[in-house]
Amino acid sequence: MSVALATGVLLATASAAVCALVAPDPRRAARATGLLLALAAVGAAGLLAGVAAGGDVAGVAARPEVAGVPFGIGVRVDRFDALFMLLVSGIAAVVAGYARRYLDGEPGMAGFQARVAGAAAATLVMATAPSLVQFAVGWIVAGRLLVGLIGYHRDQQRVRAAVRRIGRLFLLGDLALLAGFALLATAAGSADLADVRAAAGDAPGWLLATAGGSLLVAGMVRSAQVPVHGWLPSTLDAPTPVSAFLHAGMVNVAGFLMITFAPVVVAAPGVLTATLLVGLVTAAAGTLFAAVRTDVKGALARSTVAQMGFMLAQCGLGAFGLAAVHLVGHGVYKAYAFLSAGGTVQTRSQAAEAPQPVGPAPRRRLVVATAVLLGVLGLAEALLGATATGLLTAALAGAAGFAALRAALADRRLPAGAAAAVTGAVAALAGGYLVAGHLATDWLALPSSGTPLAVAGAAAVLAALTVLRLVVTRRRAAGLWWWAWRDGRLPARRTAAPTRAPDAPGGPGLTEAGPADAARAAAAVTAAADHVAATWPLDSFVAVNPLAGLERTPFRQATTRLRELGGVRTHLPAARWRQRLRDGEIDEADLTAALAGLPAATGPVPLGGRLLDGTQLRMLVLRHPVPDGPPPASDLLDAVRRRLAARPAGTPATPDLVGERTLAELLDDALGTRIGARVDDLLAGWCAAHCGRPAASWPVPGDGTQGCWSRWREVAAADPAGGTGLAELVDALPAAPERALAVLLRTLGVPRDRWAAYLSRSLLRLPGWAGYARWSQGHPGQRPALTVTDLLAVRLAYELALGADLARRRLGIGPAVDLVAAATRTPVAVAPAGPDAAALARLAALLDLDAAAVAALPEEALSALYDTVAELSPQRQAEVWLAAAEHAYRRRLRHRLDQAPPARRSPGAPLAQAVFCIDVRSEGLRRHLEAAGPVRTFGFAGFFGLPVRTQADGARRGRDRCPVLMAPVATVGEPPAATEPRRARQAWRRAFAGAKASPAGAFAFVEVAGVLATATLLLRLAAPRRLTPTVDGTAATTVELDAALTLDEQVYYAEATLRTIGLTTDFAPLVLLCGHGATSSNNPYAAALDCGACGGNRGGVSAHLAAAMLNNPRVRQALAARGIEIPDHTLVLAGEHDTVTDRVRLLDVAATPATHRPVVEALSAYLDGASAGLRAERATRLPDRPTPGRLPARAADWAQVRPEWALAGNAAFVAGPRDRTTGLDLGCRTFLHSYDWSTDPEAAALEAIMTGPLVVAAWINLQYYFSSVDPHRLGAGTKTVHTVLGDGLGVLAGTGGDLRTGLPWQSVGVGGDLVHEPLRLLGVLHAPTALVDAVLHRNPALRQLVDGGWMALTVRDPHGDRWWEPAPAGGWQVVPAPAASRPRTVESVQVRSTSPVAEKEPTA
Amino acid sequence: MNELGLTRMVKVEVVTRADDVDAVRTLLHASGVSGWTSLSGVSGFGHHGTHEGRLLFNDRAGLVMLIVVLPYDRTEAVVTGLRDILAHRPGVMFVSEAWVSRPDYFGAGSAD
Repeated sequence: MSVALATGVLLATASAAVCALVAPDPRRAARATGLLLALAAVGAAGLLAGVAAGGDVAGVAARPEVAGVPFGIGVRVDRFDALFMLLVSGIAAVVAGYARRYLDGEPGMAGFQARVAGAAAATLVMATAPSLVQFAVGWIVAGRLLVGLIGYHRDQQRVRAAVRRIGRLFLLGDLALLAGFALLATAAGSADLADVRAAAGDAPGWLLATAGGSLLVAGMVRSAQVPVHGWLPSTLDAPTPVSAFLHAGMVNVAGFLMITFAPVVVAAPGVLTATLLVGLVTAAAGTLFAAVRTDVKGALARSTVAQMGFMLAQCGLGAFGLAAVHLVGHGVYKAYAFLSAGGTVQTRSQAAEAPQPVGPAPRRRLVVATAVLLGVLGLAEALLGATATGLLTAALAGAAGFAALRAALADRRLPAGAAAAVTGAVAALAGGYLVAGHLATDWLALPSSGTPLAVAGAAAVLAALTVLRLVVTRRRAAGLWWWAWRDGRLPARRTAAPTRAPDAPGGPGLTEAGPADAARAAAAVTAAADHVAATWPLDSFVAVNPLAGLERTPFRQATTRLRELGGVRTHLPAARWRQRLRDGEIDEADLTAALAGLPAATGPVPLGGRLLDGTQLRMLVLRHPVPDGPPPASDLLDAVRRRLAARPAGTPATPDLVGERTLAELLDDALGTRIGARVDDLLAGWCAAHCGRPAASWPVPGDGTQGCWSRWREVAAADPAGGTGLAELVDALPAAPERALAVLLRTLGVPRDRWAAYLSRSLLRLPGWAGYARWSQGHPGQRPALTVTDLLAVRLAYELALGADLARRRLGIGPAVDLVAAATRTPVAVAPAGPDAAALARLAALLDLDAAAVAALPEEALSALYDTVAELSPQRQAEVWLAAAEHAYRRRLRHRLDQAPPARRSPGAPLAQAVFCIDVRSEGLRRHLEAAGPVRTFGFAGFFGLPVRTQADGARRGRDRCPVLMAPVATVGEPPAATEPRRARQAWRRAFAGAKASPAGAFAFVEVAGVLATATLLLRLAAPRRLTPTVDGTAATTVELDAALTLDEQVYYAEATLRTIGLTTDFAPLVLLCGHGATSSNNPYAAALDCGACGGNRGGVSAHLAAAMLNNPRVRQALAARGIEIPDHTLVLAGEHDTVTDRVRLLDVAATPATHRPVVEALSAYLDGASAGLRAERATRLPDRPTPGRLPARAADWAQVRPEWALAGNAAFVAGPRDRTTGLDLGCRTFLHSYDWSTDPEAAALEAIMTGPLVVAAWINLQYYFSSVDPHRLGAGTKTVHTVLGDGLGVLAGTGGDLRTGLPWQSVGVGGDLVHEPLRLLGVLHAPTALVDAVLHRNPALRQLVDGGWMALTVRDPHGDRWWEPAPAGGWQVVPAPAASRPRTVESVQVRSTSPVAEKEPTA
Repeated sequence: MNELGLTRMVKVEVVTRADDVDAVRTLLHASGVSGWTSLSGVSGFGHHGTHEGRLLFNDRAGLVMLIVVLPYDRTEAVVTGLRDILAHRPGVMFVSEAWVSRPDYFGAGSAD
């Protein structure tokens, strides 16, 4: 029976792999694969129970012979094997189930699932192997499939390089394994495992030592032991589920190998000692590697190295039972830790916003707690019978427990009850750990004893590690820190290369710079910084225009500049839009209108017997892939070439690259080196170390107050990777960063008038860090400081150090850009701009011209073709298509707005007036609510006009609850009743983090954490909604508001809000202020789904504050004196729309007076109806088309990368009375702001709307635009490889690189398809043009946005029925009525792509 | 004014968009300026039309005036840098003489 079960587990896992490959629908295949793997895991659990009850299982299906050596094929399962099988199949099932949602829509999903299932199946084949042959086959196949998984993003060069390296390394390990097995089989005369184990004691010592050594080498490779550990961190470029599978399951095969061959390892002379040494060195080094890391997944990967080292050390001690327990505990913990790594942003942000521990730490409490812990541990040891390894385990548990207690009890204000609870839990877990570990070890019946001497040695190493960690965090051990940061890699020693010119400058040879140079450098930095926008930290994601600094220049020029400097894509290619024309989303009329922006077309010319004018030729080029289509016929191409050759050629030009190209770029181009990329890596690594240091348990050395440049100057010289001469250079550079930058620019020989250009180009190499620097400068003291000047000074110093070395060695010259440009310049004959022959030939083919016809073409006709193709370059086409797509959308929107049905006002006052955020998602809810009942809705920025920061007493950080354009005017505290419970929660969090960061205790911690992780995994399976993140519902009340704002201030903001909305009379009995927020789990980009008007926060708190203010009788009294009378019977209620679940949560309902309860209940019922309607609508837009009832589950789904679409699709902003849009389905694509021009004679409210919400909406729109057109450079790329950096300031992709900015691909697209339609915002204003003119006249920055084409305006004159738009020469012109076209709904348009995925799928 | 015990210095007044004030401040820091006075919500009329004072929902589009007094030896750096900054963005700079009673307050004698 058990043999059948074991075989069933193997077959189910293997079938899962086959199923993933053969099923045609990837989503169904993934579901079936997950089910089969889950079935296998259940089977493995049953098998474990069977083995526990009935003893080992063995069944041999065949017994062939090779070279006279027999071996069995079948299954053989003992207790440890069964446990290992459960671990592998369980992890595979969890990972496959997770990946089904995480990688949904990705083209590589089927391959991923197949490999995971295949690798699990191969590992199970190995685990159940009765013979060495079967073992080796499983081992090797699993390794190969693992390499395939690591290469998931094979389109990246660094991934391909890593895969090659790992492949070679694994081959070495496989060969070692085969060699060891061959020796053992020869000695035993059989390849059966039982025979080999039994014969181990009788084999010659040299043979055993060689075989054991070979097995150790094989194990070292697979479990990333020092010095072959480097491959494990390099796998982080694969999606998170790969990391989880790898770190939790696959690296453990080394432990399995050592435990399975324990008799051989024990009998082989010297192998145990070598294993112990390798393990201890790896454990110590891995601990240091992990301690310096500042990103979550990076630290987890290095901690795996340390933990695998510890496991191997346990094997080296002969404590195989303990190693087995560690293997399983660590595996489950690490899987959970990787899969939940995305939640770090929220966790760390909550920690920063909670009250911080108040010191000094109460010593007595810690002493008592420690005594309790030691007492429990002592008692446990006494009961279990103290052994050497048992005492070591108890010491580790004690270290972890003490670290947990010390961290948790550091807060003097922690309530005694909470302190006692933490102490009790820690002591119970530590004691339980010892008892459970002992029982598990006994039950596994594996050898579990070490010699006292070896155990003492191991204890000494671990104690030394603890002391070392204490010492290095207090002393500036920069050299050791760099060693750990570089993962223990020693600098490559380069033999001194002969220089071409012996007299070439040596040493730094810096050029002096005076104060005026420093000032000019500062000014150049300012100009350069215009090319990047500030990037807000992820926990308060704020959408910004990535080109915000260039808004003074028109969109076209700004995007051109960015393409030239940064090589980014700023428009969607024409090929993407053409499909829209074919689908009828864009009409010919739209294209014609878009072409109106081009110079007048040429007159008709005879072509192929027809007369075609310039417009027709342009349409032809736009509609077909002329510049990049399939190759034309060769004879046609030759004919075109001959005609082109006869045309006069332009003058070749040699570009002046001095100052326009950086030194690194010049050298790389000329010498084929990769200095630019190396400087990028060094700088990005440094920024991650410096800015992410709050997350490192051993942060980069330096004072807490030191800026980036000053810290770097102190430690950079010790970096072995910084290049020769860096130390001298650092010493010679001035301490002031502006001065240093001036010195560097002068030494690099950059002409003064090119400083800004040089720095712009340098800055755009890493726009993410540049953006963070811009944010950091504007928010001093909030997070680790980084300035743009510091960033550039460090960059240029690295560039100079590396460039000087290279220029001296290879060119024999100094590192000045003019020298390098002169020495390396090859005569570059830049051909005059013009179309290539192939494009022209394609156009000729479209006109049915053959080679003969081309040859005979009149010159005038050829020129017409030539000019058309030259004019419509791919970029120009992209611009025309964008204009056409915008024209199409706007035409339909105006048509739709013209057809608004007459407002259906129910007689009498409405039941309630509900004010929603202007967010596009509110449009849907408002529409459904109005349809559900007599509720009038309004739109206003979701912070309800109250620009405040909220901050708990004693917290490190607060939250700015206002649009990014504003600075909070006051800080509102939190009621103490809400603050204190957070103190206790943070004590638990600190206890967990403290044990995890304990250098030696962490080895015991992971085993306990493994048990906790198992419980959490089971809870996620059984009741996932119990793990939904809780919404912070506590908000300040009138008391806190009064403490922060005077009555006059409150009245000022209340009046401004009500007047801007146009809600000053006819108040209903109930006024609902409804903010919005999004609940999502394990999502680094959670804040991107929240309210932009609230600074990337949930809007419920702002609504709550505003409601408290408007309910305040004193405020109402003052408002009445100012002409706004809110009747006593009107209650202002706050609510929050959860945009993932579409539920509306009414806040403070319990405090509703009895008089209003019926109204509130009625409103609740209408809201429920509206929520259900909106869910049904939204479900159809989500890629996996869930049923509406399943939408709320996405909030709790930790594998969900797309909880909702957020603001994707946004394209217009409407300011006007709701009557003009009531009853229209605008498809959740428009921001809706209430505005009544008739009460706004001075345009004060219109000005507030146009300079505030409209600008914020335009920024959001441009963020979506640029994240869509270049998801790799201007967006954050795919979420699946992100790793959270520092205290949640941002994410890196995979193994490092630039800080990612913008929206992740999952916010704008699915798989290879772009879903957001990248259109610039159209502002629709219901107001007389004179009012709009007044606002534009008073606000030059706003006018620049409109005139520069960053957004468009259209005005609906309330006195007539015409639409106006700004005229090119100033003033307003009537929007021409569109030519007759098919009516379409505005909401149905979506961009569909047809080009291959590799081209557009963003990767790290 | 020497007879009054006053010391001659240079006063630089800069009017710029609130968004660009940070750049000006960085420049002043880099030039070793020891302090300045800042006036927000400045209104006026100029090249780019009328500038109102404070906006209701936008603190960044308004104008700010920075007034800085500095010794002669630092003027070149500040004026050069400001000229570069204002080359491509809205804003004006006025430079004039000023007399101060406590020159040490304005960084006199501590030039680097």
